[in-house]
Amino acid sequence: MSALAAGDRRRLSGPASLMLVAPFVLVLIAVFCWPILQLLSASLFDPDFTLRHYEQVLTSEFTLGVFLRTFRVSFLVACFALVVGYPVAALMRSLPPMGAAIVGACVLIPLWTSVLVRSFAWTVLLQRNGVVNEALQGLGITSGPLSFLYNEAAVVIAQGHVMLPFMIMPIYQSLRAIPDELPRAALSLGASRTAVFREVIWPLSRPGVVAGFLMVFIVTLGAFVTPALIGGPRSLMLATLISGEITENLNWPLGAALSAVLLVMVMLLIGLFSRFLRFGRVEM
Amino acid sequence: MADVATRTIDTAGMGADVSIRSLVKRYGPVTAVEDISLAVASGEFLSVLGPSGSGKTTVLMCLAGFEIPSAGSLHIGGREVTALPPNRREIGVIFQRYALFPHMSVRDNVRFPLKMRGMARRQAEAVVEEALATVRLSGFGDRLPAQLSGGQQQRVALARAISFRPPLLLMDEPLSALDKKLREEMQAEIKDLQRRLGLTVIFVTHDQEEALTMSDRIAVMSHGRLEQVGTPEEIYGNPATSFVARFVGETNILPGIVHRRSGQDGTVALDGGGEIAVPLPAERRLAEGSAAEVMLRPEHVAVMPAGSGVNGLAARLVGHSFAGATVALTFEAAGGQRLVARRPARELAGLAPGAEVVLVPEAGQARCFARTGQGA
Ligand SMILES: Nc1ncnc2c1ncn2[C@@H]1O[C@H](COP(=O)(O)OP(=O)(O)OP(=O)(O)O)[C@@H](O)[C@H]1O
Ligand SMILES: [Mg+2]
Repeated sequence: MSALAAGDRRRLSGPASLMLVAPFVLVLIAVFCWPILQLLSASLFDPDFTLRHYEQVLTSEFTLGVFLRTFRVSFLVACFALVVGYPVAALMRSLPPMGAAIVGACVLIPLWTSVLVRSFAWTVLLQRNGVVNEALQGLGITSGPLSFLYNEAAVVIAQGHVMLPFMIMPIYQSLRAIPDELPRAALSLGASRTAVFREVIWPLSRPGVVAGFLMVFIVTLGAFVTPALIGGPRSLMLATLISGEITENLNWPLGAALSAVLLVMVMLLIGLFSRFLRFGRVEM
Repeated sequence: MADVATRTIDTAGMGADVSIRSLVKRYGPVTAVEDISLAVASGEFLSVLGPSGSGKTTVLMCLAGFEIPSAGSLHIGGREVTALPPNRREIGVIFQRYALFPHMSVRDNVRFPLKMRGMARRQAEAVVEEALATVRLSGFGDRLPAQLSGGQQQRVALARAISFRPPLLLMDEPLSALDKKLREEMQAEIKDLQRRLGLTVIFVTHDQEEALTMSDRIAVMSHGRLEQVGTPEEIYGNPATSFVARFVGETNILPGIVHRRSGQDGTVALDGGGEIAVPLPAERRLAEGSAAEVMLRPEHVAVMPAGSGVNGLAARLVGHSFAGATVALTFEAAGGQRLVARRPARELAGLAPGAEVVLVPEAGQARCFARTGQGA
């Protein structure tokens, strides 16, 4: 048995631990912080210092509309993932270990396939001559193809699906932390199954719900692939707008300003809710 | 709401009688409980005692309604409850690990069953305060369970389980997580509470001392079956099987052969040499010549100096351990047979290791059982 395994709580000294993380910090500065700083400076110097681009971002009805839609869609995506994900997490909790592992694998394996592939799969399902339309017509429910794609609802469903693991896993963790005796005790004290859920299970799983909700919401704010493929121009979202400004309009300063505003908002959100996100303990 | 209140008062002081009829519980190929029948009287304190895995928890969980029996029926207060969901059984259940709701204050925990019954908040507050006072935890209402010691948490669980005045309390090793001193305190408190409220209590434990001190009757289980049901005195003094004799209290086990049997008495020739007189009641089907084992409690072994002329087993003192008022003396008899005698400490005087003695079983106290494959 090594000293560490035995739970030895000796701490490294400050300087020593700094030296240990130094290489990582340097790489992070070089490939992450530096480009972000450059982006920020691109939004502020054109070529002299100016707030013109920020003014454009924050006063244009069009960009404000995109911001609003992005927040609305992200919120709906998080709601959708919660409604679909909670029962899955509850199912995993109720299964014996083997069953839970199988469902858990089904939840996690999609994470290893590219978001691109998953989004394309949705277009195959939802397009005018796609699987869903063919089936509906084949069954005689509809006479002609319906347009499922290129609207917010499609984005919410597809992005919600992509985000599901981020919702299910924290909820599952918090459900698993509830010992079996608690719902049993509640039952023996006269609670109905609904009351057991309302009074015991739900409040005790709320940390997982909050963590999953915030995670899905924040990640979707900056999501690019799925909204771009599924959403179309009428449900334009922020990341797609930024990419358009930079790659099509070649308007780097505006794209940079949009990015900076998004970045600040995300950081504010994380700062506000960091105690729910439990970054200190990665549990997956 | 008024009817809740009246019912609460109605059931106070009236424990329910419980009847378990031919209960069987299987988990796949495992039979956890095999055909148990047991009647518990109103207001009785019954302990279920048995080694780990003997099926104690399973019996309790069937009674509470968390497990569905594979066969048999359960009756509480004259009502069949075999298929009744747990939330409609009106049973207080105490779990080994307290099972307090960690997100609720002590007060809200105790109020929970009242809230589930739709009792008005004001009225419930009074009942909660009374329940907390009963377990001597007045003033702790605003704390969270995590801010209490183990003993206090178990008392909150107790208050919560009695606040809705169930006529039956089931407890699954409720004290095993507490240290010895606290455990003894809580034993007295639970016993006192049970008497005051007239509750029927079924108390699962694997601690035989706990069962002996607290119970009106004890049901001893092994391998999913009932070995014996009786008062503590019967269980200790007159074990029905060699399992009970071994499991409850200390005992010396002496293998031998039934040598002579006449009426209710007989003698057993010990394998190590020597002979011992034993009562052989008719229900013990032990023919002359059959393999038997004699069980002798240490306090029933008298120690005489060698050559004093009394009949007994010659032995030599090999060790002793002092336990306050008494001393446990370990002897080696012929054939390497070990025996322990528990005597008042003063009798140790004059005995040194190596001393030759004669061990004399107290008349009528030895018990004889058929020797089965498992023993000796
Ligand atoms: N849910 C279950 N699935 C399968 N087997 C079970 C289950 N619960 C209990 N058993 C088995 O049933 C038998 C009796 O278990 P039980 O928990 O009733 O024993 P116990 O007397 O309470 O033991 P302990 O003193 O260790 O708590 C054991 O062999 C156990 O493995
Ligand atoms: Mg048990």
